[in-house]
Amino acid sequence: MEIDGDRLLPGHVFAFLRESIPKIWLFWCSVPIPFKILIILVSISACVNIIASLSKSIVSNSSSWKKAPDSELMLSFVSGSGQYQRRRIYRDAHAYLFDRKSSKYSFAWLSYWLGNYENPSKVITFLLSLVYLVLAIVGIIEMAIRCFFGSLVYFIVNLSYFVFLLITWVVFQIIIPIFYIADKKTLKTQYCPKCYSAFLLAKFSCPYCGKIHSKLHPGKNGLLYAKCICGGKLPCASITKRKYLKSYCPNCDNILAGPNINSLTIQVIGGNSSGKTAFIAAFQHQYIGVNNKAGFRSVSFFPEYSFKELERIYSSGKTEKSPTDEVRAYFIIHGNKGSSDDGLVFYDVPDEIIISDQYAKNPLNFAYCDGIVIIVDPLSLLSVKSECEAATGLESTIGFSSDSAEDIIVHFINKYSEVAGRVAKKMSDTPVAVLISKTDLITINKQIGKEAIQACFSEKANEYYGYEDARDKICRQYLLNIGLINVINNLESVFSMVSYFPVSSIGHSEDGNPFDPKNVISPINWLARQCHSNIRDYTAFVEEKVNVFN
Amino acid sequence: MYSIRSTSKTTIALIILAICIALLMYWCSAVPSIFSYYVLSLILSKEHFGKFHSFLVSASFWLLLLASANEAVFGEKRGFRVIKSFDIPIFISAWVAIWGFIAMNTQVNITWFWLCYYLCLLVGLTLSLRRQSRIKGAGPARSSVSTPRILLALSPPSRNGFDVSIIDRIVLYGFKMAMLVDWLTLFVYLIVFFVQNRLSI
Repeated sequence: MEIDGDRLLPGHVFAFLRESIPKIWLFWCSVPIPFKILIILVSISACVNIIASLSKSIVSNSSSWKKAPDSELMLSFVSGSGQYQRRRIYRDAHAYLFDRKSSKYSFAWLSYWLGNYENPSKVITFLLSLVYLVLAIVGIIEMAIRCFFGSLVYFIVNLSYFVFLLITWVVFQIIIPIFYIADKKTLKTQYCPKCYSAFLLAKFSCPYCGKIHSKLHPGKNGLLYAKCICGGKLPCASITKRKYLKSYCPNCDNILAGPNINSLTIQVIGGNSSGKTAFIAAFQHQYIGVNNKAGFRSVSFFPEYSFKELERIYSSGKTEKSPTDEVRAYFIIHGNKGSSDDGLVFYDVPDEIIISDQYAKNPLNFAYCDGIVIIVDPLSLLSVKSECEAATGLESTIGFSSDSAEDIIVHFINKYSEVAGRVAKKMSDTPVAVLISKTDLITINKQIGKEAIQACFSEKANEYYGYEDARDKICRQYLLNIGLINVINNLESVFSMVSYFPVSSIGHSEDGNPFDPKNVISPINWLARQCHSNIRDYTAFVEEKVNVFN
Repeated sequence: MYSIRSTSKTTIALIILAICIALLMYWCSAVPSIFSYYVLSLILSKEHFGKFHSFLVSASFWLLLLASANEAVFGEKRGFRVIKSFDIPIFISAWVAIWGFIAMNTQVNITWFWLCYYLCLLVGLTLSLRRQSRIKGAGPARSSVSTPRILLALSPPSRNGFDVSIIDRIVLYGFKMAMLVDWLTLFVYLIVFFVQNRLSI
């Protein structure tokens, strides 16, 4: 074979092979048959063990994943775990390849096993040693073939696999931002009911080991699913139903009702014992009851213990004084098929938080409310209270608010302006529903009860745009008549949308019978319509069903 | 308990020794020389004295070789120490070589040669038999003061009472019996040979 200068060209290699192959074949034909069989067996054994070593290392490393830095999640296969597995497979495959004890189906293992065999008879060990020596020579030849060709094969396979992973990594890096942006677009701004911080993506806990993960979104940990360090598979995108995992506030680790709720947030404001908690108890009972009967998509509530407390209040017919140092949040959630759920959130704000300046936390929830419910207790006015007592007795006026409605409204507007950053002379678009409570009392019911409003509307239909307008104006006039003109003026000077409603949360005096609420749905329905919230369909349906029943 | 790996060292030494002997014999037959011619002539002269004589001589020498190998295996000899187990057959082979050297320069009486060869074999067998008897597990099964020594040696190996495997003891016993029979045959045939060939001595 001639070589061109100092270079070995591929053509020279092929020419060399063409000349050598017939000689090799002639030599092979001259080899005695027993040796031929032995060589073939050894070669087959070596090939089988090359494949077996690789397969064994692949199987043993198939569950090896690389942990992402600063995270309790594993890197996805394409982002890093694939290369990690490839390195380990390559290393372990070599270890198995060079270890004669790794496979029982080889001459090398057989000679090793025979070498360790012990017998009390020297004659038998001597005779077996003759077999052992033959096997040892065959085993050495087999190991030589195995190690040489195995290393070559592994190198080629490893290189090909590396290139494949590299290409997929590049493609993955292009796809990640697309998925990330698409997922981010499905997120709604959420607010923690405890620390009031705003965030888009909550923390999620692994349902298998309970570890909390803060960056569970499409990325290097996975596009649709991520792997926790416990091995559990977690959805990490909206389309893979990440919302069903338990979620926590990323700021204070408070457990949340849901990670992505399209919520209608309502602040319930009022003086002490004005009926805020009773209103929420009455509303939730009617609202959840009608939705469940109608068989709507799953309605859930959070926290469960708070709603159990509300139901207990509803059933017992007796209200209790709420804690004065915490704002309680009540979540009613409609589960949707999409990436976000619809929800109603009530914040029961104690009057102490509004009146006192001693609380460390500002009521930051004011900053992100969609609607405000202000409960005015007419019994807070002495004249109204005396009139009711004269008509129905002292028992009917037990549990009245001692706070002045005007003071509450003024303090609320000041706090609201401070937290929401409202500029003076600029009106707020947040709708406000003013609820006149305890309209079950005869003296109040005669003036702003359902029948009274209906009668007035029927009589002077041309003065009103509709029943709702009549209800609003009649209730407003009632407040004027009982001397709460400042309440009206203060509210209407700050808020552009104010409506007035007659409400009776309990429906009767606190006599131990369950609540019989009147008109608790319509204020919320009105708020939902003003905010164009998805909840308006549900509230409208519930109000219609409740009115039919009544 | 003996492992095959440790025993294989003795096996390797025996195989190397056998290969060396085979190479030596091949060299002797391939490289023509007067010395090897005379040695070969001496050895082939056994045919003149009959088939039984030829067979007995060959069988006795091979028995000595096997006994030496047996001693090497049971003594766990390795490396050059294996040669020590083969000192008797090596000595006999050297003795034949000396006779060959003598035959190069003088007229050798074949009958004297074979007579001495028989004596050498007898001595060699005696020494080899003693060595076999000293191997652990080759001793008599029962020890008794009143029992004659020869009867003790002829008694079959016991299955119990020793830490040597019964197979080893059977093999050692077999060798001892074979060597004993061979010794007796050699002794008898030595007398017959002497009587038959007294005129040519």
